[in-house]
Amino acid sequence: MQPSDATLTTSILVALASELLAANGYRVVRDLTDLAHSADRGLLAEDEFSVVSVVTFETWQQLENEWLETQADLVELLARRLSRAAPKAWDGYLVLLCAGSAPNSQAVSAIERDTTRVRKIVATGEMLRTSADVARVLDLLLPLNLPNGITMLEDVLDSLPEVMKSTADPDAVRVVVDAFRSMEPPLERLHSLRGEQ
Amino acid sequence: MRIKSVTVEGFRAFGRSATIDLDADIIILQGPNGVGKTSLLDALLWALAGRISRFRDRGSPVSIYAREGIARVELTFSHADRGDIAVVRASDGSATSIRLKIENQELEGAAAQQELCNLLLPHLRDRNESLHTLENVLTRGVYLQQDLVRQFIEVDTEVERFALISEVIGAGVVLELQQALEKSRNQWLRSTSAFRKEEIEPLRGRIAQIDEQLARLTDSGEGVEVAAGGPSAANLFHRAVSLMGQGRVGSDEPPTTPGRLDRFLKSLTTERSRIEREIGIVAGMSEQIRSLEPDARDYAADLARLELEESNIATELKNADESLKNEVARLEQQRERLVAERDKVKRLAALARLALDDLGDHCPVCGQTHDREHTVRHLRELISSASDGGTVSAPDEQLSALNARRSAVQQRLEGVRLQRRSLEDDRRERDAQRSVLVVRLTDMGIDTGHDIAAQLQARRTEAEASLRAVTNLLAEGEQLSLNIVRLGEGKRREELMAERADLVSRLEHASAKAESQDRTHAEAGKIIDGLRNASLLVTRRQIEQIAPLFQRIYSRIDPHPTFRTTQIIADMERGKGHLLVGIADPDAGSQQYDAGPVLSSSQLNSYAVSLFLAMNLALPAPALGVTVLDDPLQSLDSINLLGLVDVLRRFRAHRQIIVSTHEERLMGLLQRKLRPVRQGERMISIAFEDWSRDGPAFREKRTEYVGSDEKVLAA
Repeated sequence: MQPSDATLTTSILVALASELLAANGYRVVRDLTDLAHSADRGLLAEDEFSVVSVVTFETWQQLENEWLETQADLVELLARRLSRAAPKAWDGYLVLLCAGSAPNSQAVSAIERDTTRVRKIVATGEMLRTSADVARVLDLLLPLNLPNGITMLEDVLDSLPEVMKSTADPDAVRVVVDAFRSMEPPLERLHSLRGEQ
Repeated sequence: MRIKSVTVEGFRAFGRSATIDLDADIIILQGPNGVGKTSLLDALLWALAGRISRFRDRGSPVSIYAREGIARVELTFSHADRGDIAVVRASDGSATSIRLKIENQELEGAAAQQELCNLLLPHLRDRNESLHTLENVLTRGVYLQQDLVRQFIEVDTEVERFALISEVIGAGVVLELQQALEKSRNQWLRSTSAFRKEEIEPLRGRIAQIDEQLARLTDSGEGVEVAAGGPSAANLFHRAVSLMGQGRVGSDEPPTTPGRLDRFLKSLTTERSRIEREIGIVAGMSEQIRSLEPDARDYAADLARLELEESNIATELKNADESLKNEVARLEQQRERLVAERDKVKRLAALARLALDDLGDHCPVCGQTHDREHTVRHLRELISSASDGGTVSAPDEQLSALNARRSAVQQRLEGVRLQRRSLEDDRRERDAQRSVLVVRLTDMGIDTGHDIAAQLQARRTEAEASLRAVTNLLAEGEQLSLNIVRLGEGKRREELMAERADLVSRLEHASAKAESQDRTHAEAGKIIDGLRNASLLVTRRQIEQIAPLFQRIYSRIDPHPTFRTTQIIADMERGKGHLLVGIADPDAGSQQYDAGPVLSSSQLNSYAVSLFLAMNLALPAPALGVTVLDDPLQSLDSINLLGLVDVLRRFRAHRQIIVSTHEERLMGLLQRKLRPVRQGERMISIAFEDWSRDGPAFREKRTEYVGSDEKVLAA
């Protein structure tokens, strides 16, 4: 069976979400019997901040009809396993992934803007065509990792050999930069680099 | 580094001193408007940057309730390697001072400020613009001020945005490097030109001179051969001495130098001239000695004959003079008689005129009658004869003949006298010549008593022999001189060739050096060309690092259901960088829209906060790992607010967060969402409850990680 490039199936959506959350510090549980309405089509994940329930639906109709029950499942689970004073009791996320498309964005927005009980995140078929789309939807639940190297801002002068490599020899640029830093005559050093007389 | 505490006194809303513990991962400030939250955050900015740019030059940070009129902020922050560092900044409203306490030493003034900049922006270490850059970094990337939330996207132009990023990342140093390199390159070029002028050109000039000299020198080989077979100086010298005597040679040693040889040849030339003159004199003498022979002419007889002739002619002249005198006397008498006759005629003419005037038929005197016509005719004849002027005697032929005869005698006398004097002169001159000739012969050693001609001929023969010998010597000497000259030229040629070879070697070395310097000059030019765009490229690269972060944070806050894609694009146009920020609808293509007209005010705030947080992470503030947000939650709807709080919750992994809000209901949300979740994490909540002239009244609450967080899923 070939994977479809049109939409992702619910099973793929769950698998991708599970893999992504687990890879980012979440403890992930599938087929949790406590979730009566979503155990067989979703997962439960927890990290130090929050509890996340990911539930998948085949169609928008199914989602629209059942999301309240899945929310209730999550709320009951939190109430059952956490005290009222526990911060995490107020830090639940319900991620609703639908393989089918939504009739309009207002329908999606209406669910997301209901901030009672837990925060809802909704994504439908037109937004879920690749695994990267799933990652994008779940991104706000993931650590904010910085791109490689961004925390190590280098001195601009250090970057010049690489930046200018199409116009000047990186070694020559490096020598000139080093001379500039140490207030040495740059052309003398450049001259010496080539072993010039 | 992260902030540990701040003590504020006399600064804006803080009249009296207040020390606030900020040693936590999360610091939440909450309180109604106007109780000092922003003043506290401004105090952090002022302590670090020395000014709050949003106030520009309006007023001073000194609280109007500061009892001594002095604002003072002491900010303590921790440094991983250098321990706790305290920066103290104070101002009396006109002058600001700074002190930095670091590793048991205290710095003041500019040194303290520079060290602070170095600590906070190590990538701009000791750069001139670091203070200004620090202020920009703090304002645009660390401290999100309410008034400036949207400045970057709404007020700043594309060029200003790019310039800001460029300055913040320190790209200005590229321009400094470029200028320094250009200056060095120009000096390098002048130095190379001077080297060519002072080293290479003289070498080329000298080689040209040598080539010209070599072209004028004969081939050395020929000269050497001649020199080998030619006469020696010693031989010539000895022969000359034996011929001329050392006195005439003028030297007591052989001519071993060109100068001496020249003098030797000149003495030979002089000797030759002397001998030639002697030969000429001897020849002349030989001609003259004929005058010493007895005279063929009898001067005495000739003189006696001429004297007799002169005497006769003188007598003849005397007679002629006498005849002439007599004739002159006779002519004088004749002339007196003629004069008397002419006077008589004139008197008769006068009487005739008178008679004619009064002539009648009778004589007036005697009364006699007369023939009137006859009388008139007679009177008129008398008048007429008078008017003829009298009779002029014709030249006297006798006198003329006497004069001519006398002149002829006189000429003959002078001719004879001239002959006599000439003869006497001839005789005297001949006598004188004889005397001189005798003297000269005597001087030459000629015995005039013997055969002079024979002696002179012997002398001439001897002189001609000497002349030939001297001429030979001179020719040999000249040959020797030529040999010496050619030898010298050969030696000179060799010297010039050696010098030329040395010069060519030096020229090649110097030319190689100059060409080497030219290559370095050209390479520096390529680097300068590269540097012209490098600052733009570096900035663009940095901006490109912001873009994905901006998109992620914006997506997490999720302010707009359609315009979900952020765009931050660096572009370069006509040598200037442009930074475009916008949004796009990913479902409708990549067309960019200016966020301002598309988003609502709340959405635009979310967009601006997202960009600020992205810049906070992507721009160079690693040394100060702090993010300060002054009431960023205002006017956000609930979804955006939750999204922002979720972002901040994940932000804590990278930054110490100080966030303020005026909404009391959000305090609980922030405390719960940003609570410590790991060992060692700490959160401080500061509730600003009231404000008086002494400053804010606040309560601090510290929350530590307790380690027993309840879990939904069992381990």
